[in-house]
Amino acid sequence: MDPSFLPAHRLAELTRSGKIGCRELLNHFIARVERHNPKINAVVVRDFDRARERAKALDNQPDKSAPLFGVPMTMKESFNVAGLPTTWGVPTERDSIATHNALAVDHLQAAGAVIFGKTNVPLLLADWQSYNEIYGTTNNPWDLKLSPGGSSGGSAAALAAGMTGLEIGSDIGSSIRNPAHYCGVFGHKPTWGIAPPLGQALHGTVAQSDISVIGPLARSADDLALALDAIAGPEEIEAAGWKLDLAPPRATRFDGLRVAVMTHHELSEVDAAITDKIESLASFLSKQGARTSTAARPDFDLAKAHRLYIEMLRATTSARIDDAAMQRWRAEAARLPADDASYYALMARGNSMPHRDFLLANEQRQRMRRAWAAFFKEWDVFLCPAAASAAQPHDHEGERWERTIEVNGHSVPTTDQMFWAGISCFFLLPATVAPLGFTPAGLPVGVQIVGPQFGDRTTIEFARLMEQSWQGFVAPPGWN
Amino acid sequence: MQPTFLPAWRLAELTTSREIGCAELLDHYIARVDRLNPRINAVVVRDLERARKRARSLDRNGTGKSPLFGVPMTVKESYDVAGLPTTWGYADRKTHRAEADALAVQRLEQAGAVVFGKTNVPVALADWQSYNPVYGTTNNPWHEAHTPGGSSGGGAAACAAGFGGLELGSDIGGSIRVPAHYCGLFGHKPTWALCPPRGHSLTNAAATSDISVIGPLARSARDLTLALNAIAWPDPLDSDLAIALPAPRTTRLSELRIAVWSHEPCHETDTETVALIEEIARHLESEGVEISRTARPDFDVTEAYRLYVTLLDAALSARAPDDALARKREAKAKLHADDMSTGALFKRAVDLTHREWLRLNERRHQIRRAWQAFFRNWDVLLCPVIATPALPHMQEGEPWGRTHTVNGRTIGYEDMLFWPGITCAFHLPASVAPIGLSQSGLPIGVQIVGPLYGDRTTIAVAELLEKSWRAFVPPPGWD
Repeated sequence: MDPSFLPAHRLAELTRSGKIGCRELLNHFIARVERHNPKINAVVVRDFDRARERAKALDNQPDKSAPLFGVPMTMKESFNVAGLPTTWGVPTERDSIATHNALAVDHLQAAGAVIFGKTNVPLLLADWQSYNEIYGTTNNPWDLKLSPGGSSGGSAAALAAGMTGLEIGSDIGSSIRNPAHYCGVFGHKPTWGIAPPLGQALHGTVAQSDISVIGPLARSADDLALALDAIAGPEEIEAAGWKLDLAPPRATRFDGLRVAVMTHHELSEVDAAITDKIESLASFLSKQGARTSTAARPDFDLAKAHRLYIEMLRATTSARIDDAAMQRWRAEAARLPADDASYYALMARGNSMPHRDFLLANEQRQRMRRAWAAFFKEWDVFLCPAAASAAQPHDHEGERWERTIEVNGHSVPTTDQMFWAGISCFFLLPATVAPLGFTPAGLPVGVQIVGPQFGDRTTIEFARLMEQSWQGFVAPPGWN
Repeated sequence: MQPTFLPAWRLAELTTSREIGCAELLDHYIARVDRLNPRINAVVVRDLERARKRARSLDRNGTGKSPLFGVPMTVKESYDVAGLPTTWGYADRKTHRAEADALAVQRLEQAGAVVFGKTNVPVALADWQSYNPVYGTTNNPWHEAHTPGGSSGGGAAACAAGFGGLELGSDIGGSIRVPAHYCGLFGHKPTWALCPPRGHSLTNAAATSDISVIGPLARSARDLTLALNAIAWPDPLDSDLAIALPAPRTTRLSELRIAVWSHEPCHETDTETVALIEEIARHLESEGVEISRTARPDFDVTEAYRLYVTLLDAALSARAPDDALARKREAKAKLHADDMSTGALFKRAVDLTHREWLRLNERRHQIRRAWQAFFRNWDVLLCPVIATPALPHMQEGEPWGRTHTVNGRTIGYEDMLFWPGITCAFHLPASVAPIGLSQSGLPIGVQIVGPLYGDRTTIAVAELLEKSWRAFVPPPGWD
């Protein structure tokens, strides 16, 4: 059996039953990296020797019960792995070698995984493409002229091309969901706060960032559940006071499930290839006995929520801005009219936001969270696009906020899609992306499955049901 | 049996065993409030009819299994109780009436308590005294020329004077701990975010304020546990996390490791308070406790304190009115660059960017880790609650700008934030236990600080002190 495109839980079955050795399986994926990575450039940091030693130790270990036993996997470059660089693509961090593992790395290894490398990211994890001066550009295995997305772009590309068994990415503005969607793999953005991000930070930062989460990408929904179990649960300090007890899925069949569907919003036009597919899925769900609504929405102004999201997101990432840039953003915020709701204006205001304004905005967000909680008393999941289009051509010109993409034959600002990023993550909600189908050009697209806070198992279960009866992972052609 | 000064857990025993009826016990305290409250003006809002109805219903239908069964209690004025005003001392809120009970009030009543009134606060809960244009001034039952403290000052005065069995306060800069200390009570400031504050807000806020917590004041350490058990549970609107508060590290003196931090250069602390804490240390040592007088968490105390002041100001800025901010900007412009007084730090914090706040928050989290490392070697830290015993009333001008004399030296009023802030900025739990009286007859308490989520440990140490050193003593003249 060729293990290349098997999901992680199947790989673990093979190693656990002794059908394939851990070292053998690792070598298989290493050989694939050697062969295919030069074209894709997804795995950018290699740790083969240590991984081989670890796999050998696992082979000699009598207890093979660990859930990810012997699964060869890679991590997004932004996670610390002791002895390897953590640069986030920043040239001045080229020689920053981590001294400790990120907590998630320790947890995955405790669950039996064999981490053998790290995957590419955009500069400071801030793009839906993955290129930087240190490691270069990652290509999409479905079409090398296209980006695999970002910021966990190397993660999604490595999975889709069968170069790794499992991946952990991070997401503050779709960075797990966007590349999963662009590459036709599964991804899960957990409820904020349930998976501690300790050690996914530059400069040893320990305070947890608002909105930002870590979470898995994989070739099956079951893998998302396994990986989430490995990385979720409070870190040492918080574990003294709290325990995580995620509720089981609300339902394990479509019949009777309450599904709200949203495919359009004036702030972000979505390609018909995606909206048509989501609508087809909704019809399919209805036929399966689900109750669907295309009109049900949480009870607040989504456009206002979007503006708050961009401002608070940019305030949250403002720690990275240097003093000179801060002066410029402050000047820009002062110059632009107060009613300018363009991405650029929102970013300028967010970057230079007074903390008091942040607290006032946060209060509005907390009220919207309560509206979402009320919504999810009526509905089990909320389906919507993960992005405005399928994977886009590489575009390294200018600044991100100046770039455009083509949607339904015309050009729109790429940042419009932030709407579909923030609709879940701004409110700390879990969101799973599952493969939905293909565009007429043959590119994969996914659907975003949003659930109630702490309803992670519900959204992942929904993805598993889709995998069973709608579509699972399909490998891109040409990577045998 | 005269119930007046019994702790809440003993009152619950009496009502559970039907030695006294819930309505009878309530009436006992109501009669005391009627007779004695005029002297101290602690209970400023009354809800007697509703409480009597509830107490009678408990007498008829109560199973007696609730931990606070029939315990008459008051809550700080700042909590919403349906039908009663929540003013926080603002004159223009006089006619306000709350629509629903605060979550903690609901939970205490679910635990059997009978809430029959609300207690006085300073304006905006922003003082260690409790006076305001809505309700006037609250006096300390130990000495009426002194303040009972603040901001939970009415609550501490009421509890010490035997006006009820238990009190619910709140704390962002000593507001539970200081009045407990000033009035000779037990108090507990829980680990931050352990007890959801829904309904403790002028604006029905949905967001939780940094540093701020809610917690109990009582006449015994055990009451703190009963109250904490009732209110420490996530708000179902916000979280599905389950609480996993660990048991006390130990309940035996001989197994305790205690660090004692009785004074700190540059943060003048009254010599009687320092001496009493050192006496406690000797007592504990003689009981077999491992004591260190030099062990300190590994961070720069000055930086940590400045961090607190700025983070406190940042947290409070959400509810600061625009005109106050304008005045602060003017004051900031006049500051000398080398003025690092607490007042100057507050003024400089105006218009703090979120970017700067993130930097400070990161430092705070690093220092939290230093505290955590410290508490691997030490179970609790004993330190002063605040610079001195109860202040005499001083109502001239704004609180921030006054001065106070400690050991003959003049310090800024707001400089007294040091002992409260050095722990709560880092979200640590801290209990207060009464340890003695000053020569002028004012109570002195000690702050017992523990690791994050070590609430049961700090309360256990308060209980050990209660048993082996000093229990609650009523102020003289309140029979």
